[in-house]
Amino acid sequence: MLGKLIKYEFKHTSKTMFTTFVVLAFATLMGSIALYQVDRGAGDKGTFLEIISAAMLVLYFIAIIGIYCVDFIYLCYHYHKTMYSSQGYLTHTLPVSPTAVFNVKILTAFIWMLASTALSTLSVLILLQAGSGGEFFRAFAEFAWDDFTRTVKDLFGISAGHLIFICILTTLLSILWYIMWVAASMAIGQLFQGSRIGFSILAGFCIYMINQIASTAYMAVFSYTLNDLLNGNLKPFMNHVIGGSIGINAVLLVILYVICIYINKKRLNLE
Amino acid sequence: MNTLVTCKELTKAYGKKTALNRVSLEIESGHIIGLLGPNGSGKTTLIKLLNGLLTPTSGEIYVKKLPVGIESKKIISYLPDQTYLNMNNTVKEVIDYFSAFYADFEVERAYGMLDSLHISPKDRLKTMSKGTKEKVQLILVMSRRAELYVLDEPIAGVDPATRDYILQTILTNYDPGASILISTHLISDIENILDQVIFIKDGEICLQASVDDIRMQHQKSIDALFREVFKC
Repeated sequence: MLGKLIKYEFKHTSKTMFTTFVVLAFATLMGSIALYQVDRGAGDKGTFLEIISAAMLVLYFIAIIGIYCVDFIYLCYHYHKTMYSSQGYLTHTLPVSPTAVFNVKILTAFIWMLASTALSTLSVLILLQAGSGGEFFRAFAEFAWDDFTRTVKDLFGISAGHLIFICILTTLLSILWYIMWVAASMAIGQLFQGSRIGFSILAGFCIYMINQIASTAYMAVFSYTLNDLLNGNLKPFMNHVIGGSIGINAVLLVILYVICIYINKKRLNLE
Repeated sequence: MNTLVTCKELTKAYGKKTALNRVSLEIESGHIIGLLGPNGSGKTTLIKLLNGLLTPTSGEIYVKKLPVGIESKKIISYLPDQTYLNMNNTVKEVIDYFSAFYADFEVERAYGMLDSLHISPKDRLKTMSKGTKEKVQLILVMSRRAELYVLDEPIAGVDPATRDYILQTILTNYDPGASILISTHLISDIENILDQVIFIKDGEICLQASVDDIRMQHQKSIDALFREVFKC
């Protein structure tokens, strides 16, 4: 049953998600052409080309951020529609456990957002490659990588590989955190009578505040201030603050997961 | 006869409003039971509790002596009082979906019923009229070989011809060993197909009896008795 749930969840979301990916590919193509023109100096030769190239670049950046937001909002909307709205009647009368349903929905949303993140990153890299006349990757591999590793070591006191690992871990955790944040907000919101979306937004705000308070309290314990950050004192930032932030997010993630499972199993309220 | 559904002191409150108040009842297999009551009497709440869409405030509900869960969902075929399918899907896609998740779903039966109504499996639900959507939903529900069919207001808001089709579909597509629980306030339309009735008023069961007994005792039709009991 788990396999079937995954199959249909991907099937039901794939059309919209692939459409946004196609739009992203198109935006990348347009942005690359614009940056390539700028790199070739086309922008200096005529006002029209200059304006078009600049406009295309601006549109590219709006598109890439917009597509990422649309992907996330669509997945949240799909989750609400199939869990707590009319389609929830079908979802919750399938002969599968509520935990399996929830896990599959979270996993699917996570994979789609991961794909969206990866494709957005790839898009920016393609743009840089196009903007450098095809030299970016070669130049980075030959010269910039050594500078990068040295700078990371000097600034943070860790290897570049370690930094990349932390960045990937933080990205994965952040994606999962935001998905779980929305899922938990909706689960709590549906417990109330009246404006459930309003209560969901309120619950989301409260969860966000709890996260912020926990993070601030953790930084206070390690006496790390904004001044330290501004003064370039980044070693303790990497050693304690990022590590602590990952830990806090992981703990809150588990708490939100348990809340979602409990509500969907024991307190479902499709009034 | 096996007991399919058992409710013990079942209560459901929405905030300060009690929708169901200490309801105790049993539903046995092999019957068509009318769950009758005016709007807001608690019919849909009882049905939602039976399907696990709501959790009781207190009391217990069992389906074949098991709490509501995966096993009960395998044997209950539920038609809600609203459209609950993905409107972007075609009829074929919805049939595939039901077939994938319900082991007792009979695909050929579903296509046969669609064919008799000249509904194309390639049609998207969002392009259909309200009545056609309701027919498709009913076909999906009645294509299962379930032990209990729970139909919430299946004939509300449709024209008399569609109403006849719905009742005919219900009667010709259920296993005689199974039970059907039909919730409605349109008594006269379904009175002739019912074996038993449950009258529900202000969240409490005020009558549960066989149709024959009611006619014998009260010398009245169910519709007439309903009008008397629920007189404003």
